[in-house]
Amino acid sequence: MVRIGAFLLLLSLTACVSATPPQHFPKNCLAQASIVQLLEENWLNQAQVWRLRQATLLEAGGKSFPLEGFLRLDLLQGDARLVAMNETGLVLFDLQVTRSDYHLHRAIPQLREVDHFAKGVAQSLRHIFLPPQPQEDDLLENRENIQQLSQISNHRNVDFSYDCQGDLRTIRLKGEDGNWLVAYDEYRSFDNSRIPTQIIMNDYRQRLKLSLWVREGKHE
Amino acid sequence: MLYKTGLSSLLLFFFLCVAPVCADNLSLEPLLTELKHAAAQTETLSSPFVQEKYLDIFAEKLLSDGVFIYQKPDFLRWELLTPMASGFVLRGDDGERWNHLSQEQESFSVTDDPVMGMIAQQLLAWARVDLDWLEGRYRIELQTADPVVLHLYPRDEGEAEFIKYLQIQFSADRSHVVAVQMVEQSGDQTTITFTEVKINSALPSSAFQVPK
Repeated sequence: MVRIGAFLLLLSLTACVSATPPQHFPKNCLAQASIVQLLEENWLNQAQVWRLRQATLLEAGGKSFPLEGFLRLDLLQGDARLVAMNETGLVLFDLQVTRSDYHLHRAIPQLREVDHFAKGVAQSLRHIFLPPQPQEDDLLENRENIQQLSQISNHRNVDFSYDCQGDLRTIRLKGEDGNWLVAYDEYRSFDNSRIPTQIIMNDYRQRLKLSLWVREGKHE
Repeated sequence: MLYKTGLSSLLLFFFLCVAPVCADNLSLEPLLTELKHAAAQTETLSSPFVQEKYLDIFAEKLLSDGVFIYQKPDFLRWELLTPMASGFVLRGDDGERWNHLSQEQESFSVTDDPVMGMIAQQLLAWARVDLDWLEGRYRIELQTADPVVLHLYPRDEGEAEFIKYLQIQFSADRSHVVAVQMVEQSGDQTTITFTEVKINSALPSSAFQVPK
């Protein structure tokens, strides 16, 4: 546990984290969905409650720390609650996140003592599961097997990329309120719904990388 | 402090077949003597295990499985195989831990790493039947004698803040532990069941090496 605390203290250090690996998009196909279709098929835009068992790798400060996690994701209410454990089943923290707030239900003492621990993890979870939503008036660009929706404003740009199957593959935000990229890969069906089973979030401003592998998923 | 070091150390300790003691319950003494005798005969232990984590807030049970190996006096292996391959080996004062996700392998020394030092302390205390050490940490009650089931209540306030009690169940012949359950104050429970315990069997040469 001391190792956890020491690791998290490194979040404020300047070492870089590894880059997001290149994504592989389906080829020999054209991405031609309408904006309405892209919005409707976006897995984060479904009125569903997911229960996801996942493995998580947190990287920062040149170090990495693996966690076992269970996530309840309520896409209808915009609420995500993550319980993270070590390999013995010991609960390290229980964190609930909404689009605008977070609440640390419990954490081992060593984590509670780390400044901004809950805020940092909450922000990462928000980028992945409760990000800005694409809108019907976004700018649509078709590039053969990739489509991109863009929101451009004075204080930030947000780009959403989709493959030719209509799956959301990346969200890239750059602006005053952040500089991060989320890559959604390896879509699989659980309970007749497609969700990504490998997700990588790279926060370039916080120098933090969070990788998730969804092992099991089901609707509530 | 025991809680902080993780459940593994507790489980490893109890798997050593050493009996806890309750100073307030003299009827335990013959039973403890029997369990201590069995522990003294143990040179090696190995078993697959199944770990069930019940998360009360989600009413969800999470299953994992792994392998445990111990060799007298101070060698051990705790390895989780699914869903995330990870674990550690200890060889005296030194050990190594690994994790498939991070693909990192890390050496440690119990003299430099306070967490692993605490684990080693517990393991050695039980291997040596250090009853003073155990009595100082838990109030122990005998729940049933056939099979032997013990409840251990932490004396430390910090530990008791998280752990309600530990339940330890021995095999019918009282030669080893078959299940350990940790009941937390939050309502969560972790149960580890040892499924095929082998006592004093020959161990592979790789038993205390990091997997390739």
